[in-house]
Amino acid sequence: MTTDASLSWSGTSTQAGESARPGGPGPARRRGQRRETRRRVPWALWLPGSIAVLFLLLPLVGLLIRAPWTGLAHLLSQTSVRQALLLSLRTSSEATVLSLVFGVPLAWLLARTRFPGRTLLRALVTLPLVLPPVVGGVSLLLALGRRGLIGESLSDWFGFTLPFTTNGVVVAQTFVAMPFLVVSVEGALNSADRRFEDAAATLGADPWMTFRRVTVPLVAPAVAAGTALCWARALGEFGATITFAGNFPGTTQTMPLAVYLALETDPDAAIALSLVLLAVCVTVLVALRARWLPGTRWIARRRAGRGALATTTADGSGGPR
Amino acid sequence: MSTAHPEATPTSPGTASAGTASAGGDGLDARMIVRRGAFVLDVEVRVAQGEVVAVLGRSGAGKSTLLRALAGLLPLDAGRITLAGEVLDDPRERRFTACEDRPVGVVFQDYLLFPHLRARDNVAFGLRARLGQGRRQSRADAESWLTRFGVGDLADRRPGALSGGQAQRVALARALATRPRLLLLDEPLSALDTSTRTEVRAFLRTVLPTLSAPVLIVTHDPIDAEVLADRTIALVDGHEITSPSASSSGPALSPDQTPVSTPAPTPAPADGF
Repeated sequence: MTTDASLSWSGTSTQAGESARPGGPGPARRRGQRRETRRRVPWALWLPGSIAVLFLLLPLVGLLIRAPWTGLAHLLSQTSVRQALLLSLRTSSEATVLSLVFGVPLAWLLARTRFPGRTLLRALVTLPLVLPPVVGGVSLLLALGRRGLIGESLSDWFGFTLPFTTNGVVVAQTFVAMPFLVVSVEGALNSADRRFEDAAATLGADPWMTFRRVTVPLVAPAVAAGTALCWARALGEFGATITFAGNFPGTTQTMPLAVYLALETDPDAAIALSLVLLAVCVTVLVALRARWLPGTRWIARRRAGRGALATTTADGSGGPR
Repeated sequence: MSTAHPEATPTSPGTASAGTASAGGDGLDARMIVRRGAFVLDVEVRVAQGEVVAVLGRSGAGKSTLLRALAGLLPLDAGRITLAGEVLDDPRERRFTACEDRPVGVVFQDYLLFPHLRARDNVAFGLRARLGQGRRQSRADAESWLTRFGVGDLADRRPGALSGGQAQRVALARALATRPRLLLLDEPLSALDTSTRTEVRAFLRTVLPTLSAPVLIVTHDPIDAEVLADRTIALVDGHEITSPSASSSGPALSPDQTPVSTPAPTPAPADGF
């Protein structure tokens, strides 16, 4: 069934994912697969593949080697660092909760209902996956900013402003991270055996009960995987956050922003902060072993690409804020 | 489940008209027309209270369409389904009772036990959903249903840890626990290996006649139809071809392994349940 299929899928893809990922799956799995791939590997494949591994791992090695290990405790005990870390953890968790509350129903609608323009809608809601986050931040400003499309009304009627507040950080992170959850859950819903839902109906369960007690439990692994990706994406969010919420220590300065700023004033602190983020991400990856992440490999890969893009574009946009 | 119902005594296949006469009251009375592309299901099914009727046909004959229409998973295009005097589906009168509101129990071909729930909770699911029972009550009832079908000691197992025969019993308990007025069995034996098959067939043979609800079995196997049912409806390409009481009774029911080898290899896509 679904789980079996996705399991075997993630099993075969482990080789590909492994090289790109620090702290990948353990040696037991590796040994099992080497037996299958003992055939001669053409150099035209392994050579560029190895270069890719070096390229992906080298920066991390550099980070670990250059880290100011002796002064680390002191650097991390600074109030600004603790502030940024706590703010990051808080906002990314809130963004994840928002993504779950709104994203899972959206995924269900995309997977289970038929209406005109559904394909187009799917493309649009997953757009933030490929959209440069800075562009996302600008769009958010235009929509929810003080003089934005609905931001003006929000501000006039409710005295409620989002940009350059902590809530704005959450909004920016949700905007960028929710599609990861939607795509992951929708994929699982599409491949899930819908006859279980038929069975639930014949037992008297209405659609809402079927959703809660049958559909969601059946795609729980994908929801968990999507949640993890979503959270990690929110945690690392830079471009949309700095554009829409700014960079105020204590209220909107999340870890990635703190890293970027520290790089100019105190490189050692930047390295220390990066180490903390790295540790958090590795912890999440290890906690969700490969089998917990079926069908999300391609997202993970794309995310790596996006992350790089985000920082480069953010370099250019740090000023104009 | 009482055996006491007057019609529970197996009526001989020859007197099928007796079932027809009483069907309007307690049993199932259905005239079903469902169109799916080029395929048309056009069949009349009557099952009296306490009667077991088999629908026999090859894959593509429209068995699954028929079953889905009765369960409420597929609306009729024309016709009418009446169960226990209540109209469940009549397109002309714009009446349609949704699947979850129909007193119809289904045992699916591969049982479709919820893989994330233990056997007990699979049975309790229907008790909560259909009968509105609370958690504790539904679990207790579920256990007694499992015990009734000889699988009470497996209540804590998940479907993955059940054999085919055991899963069949759990699925039957799950369907019957909701107190349906009609029980549908979709290929009840096809998912089993040969040895379990004999055992489960014997089990069904003893259980089905004791149910007060009418039972409709959908199968491709003439032997199953012969052994389990009081009466057989042979379905070819969406239409009934013979009935035991009708004039030319021979070929459709002959229990040789090749089922109904009559006409029309028309492509009928509707069978993927």
